Parts: sequence; C-alpha cells; structure tokens
Amino acid sequence: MLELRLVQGSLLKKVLESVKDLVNDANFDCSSTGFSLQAMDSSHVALVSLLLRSEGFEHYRCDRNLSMGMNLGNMSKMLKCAGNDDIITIKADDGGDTVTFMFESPTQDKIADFEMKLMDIDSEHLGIPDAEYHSIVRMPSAEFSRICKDLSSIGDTVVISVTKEGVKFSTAGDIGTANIVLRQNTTVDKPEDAIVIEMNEPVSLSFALRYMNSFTKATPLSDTVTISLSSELPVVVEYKVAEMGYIRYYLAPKIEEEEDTNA
Amino acid sequence: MAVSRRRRTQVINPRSMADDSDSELDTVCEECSSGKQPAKLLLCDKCDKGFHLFCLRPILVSVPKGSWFCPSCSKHQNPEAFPLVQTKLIDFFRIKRSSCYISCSPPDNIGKKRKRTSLVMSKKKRKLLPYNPTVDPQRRLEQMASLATALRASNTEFSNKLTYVHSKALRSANKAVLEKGGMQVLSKQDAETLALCKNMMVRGECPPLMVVFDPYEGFTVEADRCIKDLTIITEYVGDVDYLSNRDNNYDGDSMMTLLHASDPSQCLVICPDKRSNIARFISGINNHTPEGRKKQNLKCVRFNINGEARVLLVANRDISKGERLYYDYNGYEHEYPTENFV
Repeated sequence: MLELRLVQGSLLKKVLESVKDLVNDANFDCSSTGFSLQAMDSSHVALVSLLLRSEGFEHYRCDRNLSMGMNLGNMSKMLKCAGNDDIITIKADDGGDTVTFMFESPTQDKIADFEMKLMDIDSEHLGIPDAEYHSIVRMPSAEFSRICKDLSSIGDTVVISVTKEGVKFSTAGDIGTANIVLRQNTTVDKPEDAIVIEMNEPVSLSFALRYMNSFTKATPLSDTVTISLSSELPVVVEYKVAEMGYIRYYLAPKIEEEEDTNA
Repeated sequence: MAVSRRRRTQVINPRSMADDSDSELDTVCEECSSGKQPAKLLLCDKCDKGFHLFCLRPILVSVPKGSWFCPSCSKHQNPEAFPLVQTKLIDFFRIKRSSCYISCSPPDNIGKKRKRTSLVMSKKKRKLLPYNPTVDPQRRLEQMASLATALRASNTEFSNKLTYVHSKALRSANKAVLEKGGMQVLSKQDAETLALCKNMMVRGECPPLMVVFDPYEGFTVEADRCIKDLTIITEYVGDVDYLSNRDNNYDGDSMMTLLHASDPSQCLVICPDKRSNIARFISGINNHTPEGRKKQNLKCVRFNINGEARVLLVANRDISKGERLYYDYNGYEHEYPTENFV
C-alpha cells in the first residue's frame, strides 16, 4: 500500500512540467528513502534523475518498494487539474494496476480524485558514480534559462568553458557567433542572485542546446541552478526542490571526431 | 625539377636507425605505432604513412583496390554535415543490475508495452508487417535528407529497386530456381505487404530510419520510431552482377549475395556502389565476439518473388526509437571479415 501526502502540491506539478517534455514514459520508484525517477530521453543522450525525500512529505507510507510505470504526459494532464495551493496525495495498492491522485483545496471544501492506469515499462537504470567535477557553477536559474534561450536563436550547440576568468557560453550559427561571459559575483543583496564558480580544473565542453532548453523547464522549481562539468563526463544540471530533494539532468557532450595530427 | 619515384612498401624512419632489430624496412601504423599485421597495413598514396585497416575511423574492411589517401591527405573529402559527434550517456555510464523494485504490473492486456519475443517461435503463421512511416512530414524530410547526404558522400545514386546494367548481369540471369537448395517463396500476403512498402516509398512515406555518421562505423542507420518484430525495413538493392565479374574487381565492401547457385558462374551479387538505397548503410555485427550477436535486430532474408531472387531486411525483434540497426553480414557464407567491427 502506498500513500504519500504532499502539502505543497505545486512542487509536484512543477516537477512534472520539467520532465514530461524530455521523457514520455517512465517508472516512478518508491522506497523508504523517497519517491524517485530515473529515465533517459528517447535518444539516450539526456537523463533525468528526480528525488523527493520521504521527509518532505507530510505523510509517507510505502509498505514495500514499488515501481509504477506512468505515461508522463497523462500524469501531467491530471496534475494540471490541481490548484497551485492544493494538497496532493498519491495512492496505490500493492499489486494493483492503477494509481490515484487526490487533490484537496487548502480550505478543505473541494476534493478531487483522478485515477490513472499504470504501464509495464522495461527500463534500465544507469549507475551514476559520485564524481569530483572539474568545475561547478552556481547561478540564478532564470539567468541560465535566458542564456540558453538567447543562444539557441543563434546556434544549436553551446560550448561551455570554465577558466579562472569565469564561465563562458558560446555558440556559432549561420548568422554569426555569440559569447556570454559570467564572472564570479558573491557581493549581492540576495544569496540566490550570486554567481559562484568553483574551478578545480579548467574545462570546455560542447552540448546540444535543444536539450539544455528542455532542462530549463525546471526553472520554476528553484531560484538557483548548479552546473557541474568535467571533461570526459556528461554535464549535470541540478535544480533543488525546496528542502525535499532535487531534479538532476545529465547531458552527454558532443565531441570532435578523431582527426590525425600531421607529424 | 627531378621527380623521384614513390616507393609503396618502404619507409625510412631515421629514428629507428639505432635499433637494428626493428629494421628500417618496417612500416608502422600511425595510430597504434605497431608494425604487426603488415597485410592489413595500408599505405597512403600521397604521404606514404601507414595505417592498419582496423585503426582507421571509420574502420575499413579490406584494402581498397584503387588509390587511397589517409585522413590527413583527404581532409577536404570529409562530409561537412557532421562536424561534432553527439555522444550518448551509455558511453559514460554503465547499466546497473536491476534494483529490488517490484513492478506494479497491470493484468495482461491493459496498457502493457510489448515485451521482447522469446527465442522459441510458436508455430502459428508469422506474416511480415509493413513499416510505419513517421507521421510528421517534416521529420520524414529530415530522414530523407540524412539518406541523401550519405548517398552524396558515397557518390551513390538513389534507387529503390534492383538494377540490371548491360555490362553486368541482365534481369534474365536472376532466376530463383537456380538457388542451391532452393529459395523460399514469398507468400501472396507478404508480397502484398512488400508492394505496399514500395508504394509508400513512392508517395514519400519512407521507412522511419535516420542515417547518422559514427566515428567508428562510418555511416550507419538508426530507427527513428519504434519498429515491431517482423517489419519489412527495406529491400537491399543495387546493381546486380555476376560474382565471377566481381572477384577481380573487389573494391566494394558492401556486396550482398543475391543468388547462390550450384554453378559458380551463375552466382549473382548485389553491388550498391553506384545505385542503392538506405540498406547499404546498415552495419553488420561482429561475428567474433559474444556481444556482437546481441546487437543484431534485423535479419537479412532472400525470397523468391515472381521467380526472381530478392533480398529483404526484416526486423527480428521489436526495435525501439534511437536503436542502431545491425544484421549478420555472414548469414550464409562467413566470408565477410567482421572481427574488427564494433
């Protein structure tokens, strides 16, 4: 028997909006640790990893580890019917084939319940090792979203380079090139507006902007975004979910074909 | 200005002068620096540098008949459409052994995604299915463009059926009855399915496939939407020629057996170098490793259709979107060297 009650229902709504465009069907895994999801997009280039810890729920009951296969588009349609202030409860029976979403208005005068059929999804989880990243950049999520949007009007690939001068986002396209440089800035009024760059080693990698633009759908979830880069590793774009967990996107880089260097 | 004759077999390497055992006559591969397997060490016709067939990217299957230039000397010939290569997550992260989650599985027919078919085939009639083209016409254009780019880079014209040229074999030579051991006849229903696929192609509804460029495999084909088991992907087409003609002229690395007759002079092959379709870009599995076999998701089958031999590529399991297509190049004769395949 599964019963999870989340007072800040809007968090779950925003989480679905951040994931549904990248992945169509995925398994939600429930265990005593929390409610999580790990899924790759159809091209196997991007991966989303979501965790909502059990401590963040007002009530968390998960009798045994459960994997629920859902169509994210359909789940999003149902969650759109919840008000932003509603309390959302997720219920499922062990061995059952449906999941129920219950939305209660904060004043308790309206209760809605939506039942959805579950799917049988064969999914493989990737093992993501904890790595020390060469560079970690923390910046306002709105800024990152704006940069990705602006650069995609010029080119389709962004080169992210971190040096001691700061972090540079560049792109090139038919009409020309663009470069945006951000320097470390911790002297700001609000901590969430700060740009913090932790560089252990300089790194420069190329990524497809269309995936970056799907990642920035998670901007409503957090004021800051953390971008972790390492050469020879996929980039990790992380948005924290208000004291409950995180949503992490992994994106495989674009690399040069091996070319012969003249002796 | 005196013109010195180029020597094709020897490179004088001043660095190895001191070492007598490693004689100056040995050429080494520029990639791996080893002189091993000299039979597979190709020399560039311009700069004389040596490269193993299997150290090149994309891997070459055999020594090309005509002149060959190394990647540096032939830089201007690289296809411009693929400057940077998108890697996949699987290149960095390994698949974890399944965790302890228990699926909340629905009863048999509701909302269930089709699982892989088991190895034991049930004896009921298995008919071939036509492919489902991509719904979005814009995407279909992109698929066709990717094929056009690959064809152009290989100097090949597009053709969706077997072509019979005067200098090679005539249509009358293609008689399925000549096949040693007989050839299976395509049932009427399946022949209609094949005709449907051909008609769809004529209407611009191409198979849901995308041609991509891989640094190891060269041009290769990926599925652009889910493909069900037993779907006819495409027909392997090209110029039909006698095997005996091609023995001396072996330059192609994509020849396909069309007719394996008892009399060797009647054996026919399909040569897709001048005219072809997407089939020539589909990669083969490595027959020499256990993992190679697992990659196979297509089967190459020959049928007797209206008395003629034809080659069809048919899915032999459900294929998901984004998966690369592979079939066994050595379905019959094990003559194709695949030990260096990915």
